[in-house]
Amino acid sequence: MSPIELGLAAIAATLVLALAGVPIGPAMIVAACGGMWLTVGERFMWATLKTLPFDFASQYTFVVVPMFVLMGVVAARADIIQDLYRAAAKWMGGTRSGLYVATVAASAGFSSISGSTVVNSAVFGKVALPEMLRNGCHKGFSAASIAAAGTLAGLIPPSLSFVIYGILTGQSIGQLFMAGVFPGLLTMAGYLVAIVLVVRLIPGYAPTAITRYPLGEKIRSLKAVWPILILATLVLGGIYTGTMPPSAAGAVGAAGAIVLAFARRSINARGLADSFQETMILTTTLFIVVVGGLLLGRFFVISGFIREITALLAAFDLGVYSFLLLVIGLYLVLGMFVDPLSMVVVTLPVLYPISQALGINPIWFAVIIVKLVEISAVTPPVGLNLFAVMAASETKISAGEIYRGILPLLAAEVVILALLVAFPAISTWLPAMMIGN
Amino acid sequence: MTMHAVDTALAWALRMSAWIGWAALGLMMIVGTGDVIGTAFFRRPILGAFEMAGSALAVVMFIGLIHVQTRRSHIVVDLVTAGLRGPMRRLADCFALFGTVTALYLIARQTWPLMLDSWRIREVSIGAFNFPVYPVKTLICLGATIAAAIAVVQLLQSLVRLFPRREGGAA
Amino acid sequence: LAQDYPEMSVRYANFMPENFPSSAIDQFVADEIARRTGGKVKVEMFHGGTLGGVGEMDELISAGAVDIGNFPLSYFLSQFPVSGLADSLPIIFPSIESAVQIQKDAFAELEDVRAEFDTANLHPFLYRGLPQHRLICTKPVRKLEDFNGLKIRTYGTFHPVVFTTFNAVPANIELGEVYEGLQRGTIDCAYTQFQLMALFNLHEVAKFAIDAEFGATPLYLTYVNKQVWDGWTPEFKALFDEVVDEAEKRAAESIEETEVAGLEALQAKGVELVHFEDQEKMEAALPDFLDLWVEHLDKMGHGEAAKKHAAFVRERLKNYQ
Ligand code: NA
Ligand code: NA
Repeated sequence: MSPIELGLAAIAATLVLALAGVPIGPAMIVAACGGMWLTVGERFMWATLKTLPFDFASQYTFVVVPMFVLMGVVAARADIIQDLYRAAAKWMGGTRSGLYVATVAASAGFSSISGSTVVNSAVFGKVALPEMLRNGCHKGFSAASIAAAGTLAGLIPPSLSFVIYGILTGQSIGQLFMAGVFPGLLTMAGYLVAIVLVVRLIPGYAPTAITRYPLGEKIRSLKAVWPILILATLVLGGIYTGTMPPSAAGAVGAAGAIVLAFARRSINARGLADSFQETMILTTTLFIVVVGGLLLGRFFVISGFIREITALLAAFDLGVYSFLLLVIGLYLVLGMFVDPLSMVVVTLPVLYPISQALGINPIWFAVIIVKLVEISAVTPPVGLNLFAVMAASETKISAGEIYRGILPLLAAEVVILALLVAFPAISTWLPAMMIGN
Repeated sequence: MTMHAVDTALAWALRMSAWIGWAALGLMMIVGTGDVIGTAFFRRPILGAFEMAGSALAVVMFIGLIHVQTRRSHIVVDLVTAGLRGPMRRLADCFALFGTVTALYLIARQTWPLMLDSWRIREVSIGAFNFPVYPVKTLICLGATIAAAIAVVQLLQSLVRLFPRREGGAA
Repeated sequence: LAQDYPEMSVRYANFMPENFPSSAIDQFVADEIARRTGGKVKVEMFHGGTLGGVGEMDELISAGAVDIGNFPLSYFLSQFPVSGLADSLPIIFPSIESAVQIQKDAFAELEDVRAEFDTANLHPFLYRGLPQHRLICTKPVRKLEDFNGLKIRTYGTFHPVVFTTFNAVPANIELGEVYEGLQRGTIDCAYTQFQLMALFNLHEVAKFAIDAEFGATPLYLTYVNKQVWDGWTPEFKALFDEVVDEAEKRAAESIEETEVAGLEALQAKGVELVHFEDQEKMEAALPDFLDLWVEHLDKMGHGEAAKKHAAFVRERLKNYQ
């Protein structure tokens, strides 16, 4: 087999195993090891298995991942998010689209301290969904709004997606975080426009009950915002004043969240232990997928797949925009079926060097990739955020309901993505400002 | 060994490993925060902070395998399998576990030489503070090996379910 | 004659990115071997750690997953305690030439060192050097007192000692975060060579290069899997050594030029070269790093071998004073 055929065979094997129900991480590990065994031999495979998983797992660079997860999990357990959502609902819930708007706004607020799009979706599935359903909001559209708003966590800093992009490409994580700010806000604006339009145009999407609160109660509810403000200031303020490098921000943020939770008396030892447990499980779940992706990547390198496919794409003499179009098409299609993390881990080692050969701004490219990753988290049928909301709803929401509900928001995503491609400055202006050129 | 003994051993392993994983997470957080505060305000960075946090991370990820496998909380693409019922469903479950056992075996097998090499040379970390690395690699080996063993037990259980016996026997 | 060489394919893993100055030498070795064997020996070059990160390299080479690869000995303190001397010490070597030659001689002559490579199943080659370690800072450093409280990114076990001696703070910060660290004031100085400061664009965020000299060191070595090496024909080994000799000469010729070019690039981008007035005072105040190293290895149980290696280095250093 030629290197290209070998690479495609490994991808096909992964997909077949995954569709047959083998978890995606183990599926990639088995496909990659099978490929190594059959092409370069047993010795290469065993040596790589001995070095790669531990070397990856013990890298300081990745410490930031469990730390950001821990910060988000603790904040959710300590009711910091619940309070935030209730405040948002009091301020914004007074109109027909109000509760949807409140959900998106509160999720954006949580995004400034949470880096994980799945954690955001799960938390709001628990916190906001019951409230929305109680007020008679549309089931599928409520769940879909929560899933979509969850993606803001991946764009608004801190963001695990940007951390992983930074690790895979060697780009500055601090700059990547800055690059996500405006695309995140643009995405939020896009969702809000879509929500207002949908609620206005489609009967049955507006809630049956609209509660208005007196101004005094609204103002009192604002005190729920300060814990989030403190944590966001601690993390982002710490990074941008130079008190700490971005890689340390997760540890400081997690410690801050725990201190804050105990100060508010909203967490106990049991809750803290549960938070640690949840963080460990989530981290390990990601770990298996990334190790699988890295092993597969190693196979792509040693089999010559990356060399050949890069040469092939280079031979097509693609321009910047036809290349981007290709990437967008690839990610949208793959993203329907494959989980976003493994998609990036496997494809970026191929795509990133090409993007650099074409002279594409790496920060802009990062935003487009991360945006595509986040979109794939909400595209049916395999959408991590959709699953997270369904799981959090304890089967009150069916797959069909949430699949239909997400469609208008996906339409908004297409427009947002087009804007990000058409206007690179949305992504690159703020990081450039930060450097001061 | 009776099923009861296996269950007891498993419950013990779960509790102990959870404590170890939480401790490693806590260490990561404390070392990271302490290093930031120490460097910024007291001119006292924590020696070997990166190496310690990195080792703790490895412990979390490998010890966490035990818990992920026990709960089977892997990321799964259940496009096809979610629609299966009855014997087909049980068959798919067997296959999924077979794939998982294979992957965990591949990883776990090589954590043994990783650990033994580390003991042989009494490996210490590099950098400003040289702490022993072999206990870390021992935990890594334990995590991967126990997780693989749990997956094997789950596979055997799923095989048993594949051929339901008419008459109930002592399991 | 080309037909004397066996047809084979060799995997060469370089943990450094292709655009690093040192990677050109690795590429030269690969290209020349292919050319001089008339293409009979193919060398597949993998730059940038794509076949394994630096922490994986010793195992990957010694297990034969790759045939040739490189890594710094200081990265594997417990695997190469005795041979790691020159890799890990500041101040000791006055010039690149001394660092390279003394390491090469020690590795040829000292049994304890050879034994470490034999155990690891590695055949070391490609002796190269790195110019003086320097500082680039966000503020000028002219006197020893200026070190007081400076947050400096260093690495390893011994380099931080240089700075803690003068009350500077050896901050923990990753290589990838040095640029931002300087920009935001998380650190005040980075510690490396001029050429790498230029390569990392540190001139954009730090305007003072300091001419203080903290010693030259050998560069990381490159290794052939020992069984692979032993399996090569005498003709091919001879050709390999010939190419490596030329590569070492090229490296020696280009390294100073690259360093001068690096400094010029920094200066062209507005970096001021600050004269450090206390070089001699500094060296006098610092501990003897060879003694410190022996002490450290003694704690690890390698005291005797370390003493021999340190004495060897001390003896040979006399030729360069
Ligand atoms: Na975020
Ligand atoms: Na999807």
